[in-house]
This record gives sequence, C-alpha cells and structure tokens, in this order.
Amino acid sequence: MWSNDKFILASKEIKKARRRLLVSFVFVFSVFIGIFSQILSFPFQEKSKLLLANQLANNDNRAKIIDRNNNILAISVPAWTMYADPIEVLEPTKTAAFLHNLMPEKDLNFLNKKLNLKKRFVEIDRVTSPKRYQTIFNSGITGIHFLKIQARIYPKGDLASHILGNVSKDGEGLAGIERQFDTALKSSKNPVKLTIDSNIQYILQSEIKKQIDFFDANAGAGVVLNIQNGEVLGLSSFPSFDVNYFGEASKNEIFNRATFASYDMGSTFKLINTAIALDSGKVNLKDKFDTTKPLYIGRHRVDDFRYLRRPANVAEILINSSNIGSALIAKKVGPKIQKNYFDLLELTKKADLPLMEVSKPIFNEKWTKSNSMTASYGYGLAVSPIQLASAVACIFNNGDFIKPKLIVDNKETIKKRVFSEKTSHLMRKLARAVVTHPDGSGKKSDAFGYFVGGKTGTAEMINGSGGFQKHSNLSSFVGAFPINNPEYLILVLIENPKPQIKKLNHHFTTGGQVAAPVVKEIVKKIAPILNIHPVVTDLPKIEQSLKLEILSNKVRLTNASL
Amino acid sequence: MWKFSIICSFMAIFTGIALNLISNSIHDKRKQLSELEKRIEQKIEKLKILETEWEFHTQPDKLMQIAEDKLGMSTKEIEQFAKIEIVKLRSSAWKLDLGVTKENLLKDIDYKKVRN
Repeated sequence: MWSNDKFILASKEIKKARRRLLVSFVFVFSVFIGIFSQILSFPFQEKSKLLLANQLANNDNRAKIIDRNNNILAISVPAWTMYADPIEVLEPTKTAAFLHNLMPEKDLNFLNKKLNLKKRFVEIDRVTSPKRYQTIFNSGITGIHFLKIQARIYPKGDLASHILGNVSKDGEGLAGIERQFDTALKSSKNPVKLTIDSNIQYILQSEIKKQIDFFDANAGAGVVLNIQNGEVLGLSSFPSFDVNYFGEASKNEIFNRATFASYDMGSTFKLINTAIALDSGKVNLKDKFDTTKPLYIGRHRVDDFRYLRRPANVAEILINSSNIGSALIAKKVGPKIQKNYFDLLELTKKADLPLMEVSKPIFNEKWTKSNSMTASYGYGLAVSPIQLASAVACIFNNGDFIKPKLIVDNKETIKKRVFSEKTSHLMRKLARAVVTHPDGSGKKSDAFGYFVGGKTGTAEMINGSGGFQKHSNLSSFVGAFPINNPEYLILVLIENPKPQIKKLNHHFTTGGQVAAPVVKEIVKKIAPILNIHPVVTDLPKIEQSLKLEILSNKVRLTNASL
Repeated sequence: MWKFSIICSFMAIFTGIALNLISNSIHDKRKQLSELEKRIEQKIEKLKILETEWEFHTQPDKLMQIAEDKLGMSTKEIEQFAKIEIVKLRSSAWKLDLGVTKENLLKDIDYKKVRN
C-alpha cells in the first residue's frame, strides 16, 4: 500500500510528466505547422519569382515596329556580344587569325591589337550571329566569351529607315519612331503599327532613286498619302541608309528630307494659290490677268519661263505655270486672306507628326504684300514635303484638312473644313488639265487609265549664303489619282538634277521632265496594290467630265511647255 | 495519456511523410515548370529569329525580282485590259453546242464572283 506521502509524490511526478508531454507535443506540432506552412508557401514564392523574371524579360524585349500589313520593320532578337579576356588568351596571334577567318569584316591588325590589351574585358563583336557563336564555342579557343543580349534588327534594311530611326547600344531610342515611342516600346509587348505599306514604300524609294541616278541628282524625297484619312503609306528621303549600320551612315544620309527639310517649293504652290483665290471669292476662273510682260514687286522682277501671248485667265495661268499671273492673283486676294488660309492649312507651323525630325516652316512673320505675291509661286514660305502633301490633299479632298498620320490607331479622323466642295471640284479639273492640256507641264505624269492630276514645280535651290542658285533646281510634282474621285496623293521632289543632253536630247531639268515621270511609274506600280484598276471602258466619259469649258485644247498660249 | 501520445506521434509521422511527399512533388513540378519555361523561351527566341529571317527573305525588292524572273509577273499595264467582246473563244466551245454564245457569256457572268 502506498503511503499518503508517496501518493502525493507520485501525483506530482505524473503532473510533471504530463506537463513535459504537453510541452513536447506543442513543440512537435509547431515544428510540423512550420514545415507545413513553408511547403504551402512554395508555389506563391515561385509565382512571385516568375513574375519578376517576366518583368525583367519584358524590359529586355523591346516591342516590334510593324507596317500596316503586319510586316516586321524592327524586332529585338537574342544575340551574343563576343568579348575577349586577353589574360586568358593563350596565343593571341593565332586566335586573331582564327577570328579574322571567321569574321572577314574585322581587320586582322584590329583583332591583334584588341587581344593584346591589358584588360579583362575587350569587346570584339557587338552582335554575333548564332552560327559564329556556335563555331567559336565548338573550336574550344580560350579567352573568348559571350554575353547574351537582345539585338535590335531591321530586317528590311534601308526601307523606311528615316521613319524608324534607331536605338543606342543600351537599347535607348535615338531617332525616329524608336525615339518617339521609346517608353511604349520598352514597356509594352504590343507592337507599334505604322501606316506605312512596305511595298509602296519600296516602290517610292526605288523609283525616286532610279531618277536620281538617271539625272545625277543630289537628293530627293517622296510622299504617298491617303487623302481620305491622312494615312502616310510611303515617306522616303534619299540618300538613304541601312538602319542596321546606322553608325556608318553620314549626316546627309540620316537627314530626313521628307519631314525635316524646308524647301521653297516653287510652282507646286500655285495649286494652293489658285485654290485660295477661287475659294475666297476674290477671283473667278474667268478673270484675266496681264501675263504678257514682267511684273515688278518693288525692285524684284517677276518673270515667266515664257511670256503668254495674251492676258490669261486663272485656269490658263495655272496650266501654263505663270509666275506673273500667280503673283497678280495673290495681289488681288491680299496677304491677310492668304496668310489665314496658310494657317488653316498648317503651313505656318510644324507638321504634327510623331517624329523628332520635323522642321519649322521658314517665312517672314510680318506677312507683307510682296511676301504674299512671291509665295503665290512658291518662294518665301519654305515648308517640308509632308506639309505640302497635306495641304494639296486638302484641296483635292473636298476641302477638308486632315493631319498626316504615321501610326495606325482607332481614333476617328479629324477633318477641318478649309475649302468648299465647289472649289475642290474645280481644282481637280484644273489639276487634270495640267496633265492633259497641250500647254500643261505635267503630261509625263499621265499614267493611262488612272487619271492623274497635279502640278509640276521647278524652284531654284538656296545656296549656302541664302541666295538662289540659278542652275540648281528643285524639281517636283504633286498629284492625286484617280483625280475624278481622288484617293491617293503622290509627291516627288528631286534636288539638283543635272541636264542629260546625251540621253534625252534636251537640257531640261524641270519638274515636268524629272519628277512627273516618276509619279507616273509610281502610280502604275502602286495602283494594283491599292486595288485601283485602270479605267478602260468609261475612259472618254470620265475624261469629258473633267474637262473645263474655259480651256480650249486648240488655243495655246505658248509654243511648248515643260 | 500514453495512448494519446502514441496516436499523436503516429499522426505526426504520417503528416510528416505526407508533407514530405507533397514537398517533393512540388519540387518536381517546379523543376518541370522551369524546364518548360526554358523551352518556351528557347522556342520564342527561335521564332523571333525565324520571323526576322522570313522578313529578310521577303523584302519587297527580292519578292518583286522573283515574281518577275520566275513567274514573269510585271507591272499591270493598261494594254493587259480589254473588253470581253474582243476575247476570242476557242472553237471547241462552239462545237459542244451548249448554247455558248458571246451574249450568253456576257449575260451569265457573275461579276461579284469574278471580283472575289
């Protein structure tokens, strides 16, 4: 039998044991709960890690730039930067020879020099192709290493290079769309979609280049514009460059003439002058002006290429491209009204384009009578080609001004009424007459069946000291097709074409001889892409509807036109 | 009490084993996932390179050259268009006596279908 003391002792021991057991039990369970909660948290940890990894990958992957048909114009692809650790290179001469053999474009001396530098990191090739990477990897040569990078590739080479711009080694946009949309391209996977059509862009570039070569000209620019919605389908500047080799391009090649150059456009401005005169109601189509003798604006003498035989009406002034007649029309309209129209056509401010390379128009802020008279035939208001294209598009597009668009978006097209439909309708007939009338200067632009209508321009280029160069022309043509129901506008400018007497049997380098034929070729080639078919059956009917009664084909005011 | 302790110990052991199995399977799944991600990344990279190559090979000048050289396709000229009346029908078509006449042909042409 247990004594009372023993029983008390035993019950104390039991209590102690129970407490110990409870403590151990709580400890074991807390350990398991700890392990269990850790296991449960694994997937969440992984998810957060993955999210971070994806974000980093996104930063590396700059979004694509595509054309309107989803063709890729700029893309980031994985590549390798090849670098050397000269201390690890055992035989620098042999290694240099091996690398030169693999990359013939790298000079042997350059490679030798690089491999003998006392540095731990020497860049050999910024972007190495996978094939070269594999060859070096398999060769087992020491001291040559690779860093994985994202290289920006422009698969279409020099196509739309001035629009695309480029990026720095660190992936920062430096020019063009790459610069303007830098943040969007870096932060979003969605590509930036341009309104450009690669095929039309190629045709525009190649046809301008062909003519530049033929006339041994210095440079050129071109625009293809949808005049219904302002979308730019082609925008070219020549000389051009391959964006993949941006570093090797000269300043002259990089310069975007289509948006960044300001030109005194010459006679193409007469379209605008005539439209303003007719729309303002200050002048009627039948009004006659004395174009038989030179005109003096102060000390400045205004001349024509050929004086007209008799006072000419507004239509005759336009198709004969009379400077005297245009200046007299502008005089009648007055500088205030003219300037107001120029403002509405946005010719007096920078073009609203998503590019850094956009020029500011050059003109006298105090718009005087003499300024308005010289501007009537394209001198004294220097604008970029894209501005001229937009202004002329407004004339043909029932009088609605639409800002040129380079990016495809779902925004509604904003139209600003500048000219009346009646003026626009009349201007189309006049533009067609420039191409079809015996006195018209744009005959060489007439792509049969497509009804081209437009205006030629031959301006003297400005020299370094600000004066005009007598024998250096800016030859241009701006026109729309089909002019009975205009859909697309084409502008071509060629800088300083040289006379080709041997090839052509004449020395003319005017807009009609140089730029108009380019427009004809472009129309013929881009029309099938734009689903515009040449008119065969209704040709005489349409031609008749575009005739102006005031103009007679039999009555000519000059012997020849250019 | 000892019974309770034994049950708890067994429960702890079983829970431990179960948790260990879950942990291992999660580890395996994680490994599989990272492998899959790696493969997806590789495929995406490969796709990008292929896309770039495709764009390079389909440069407009190359396509136009091939279309002209291999297929004889050139710019559509106005001379290629004509009224259907001047297109000569093969004599065999008349011999079949199926009522093939120029008038019937012109009448039966579904221009919508032709356009599509």
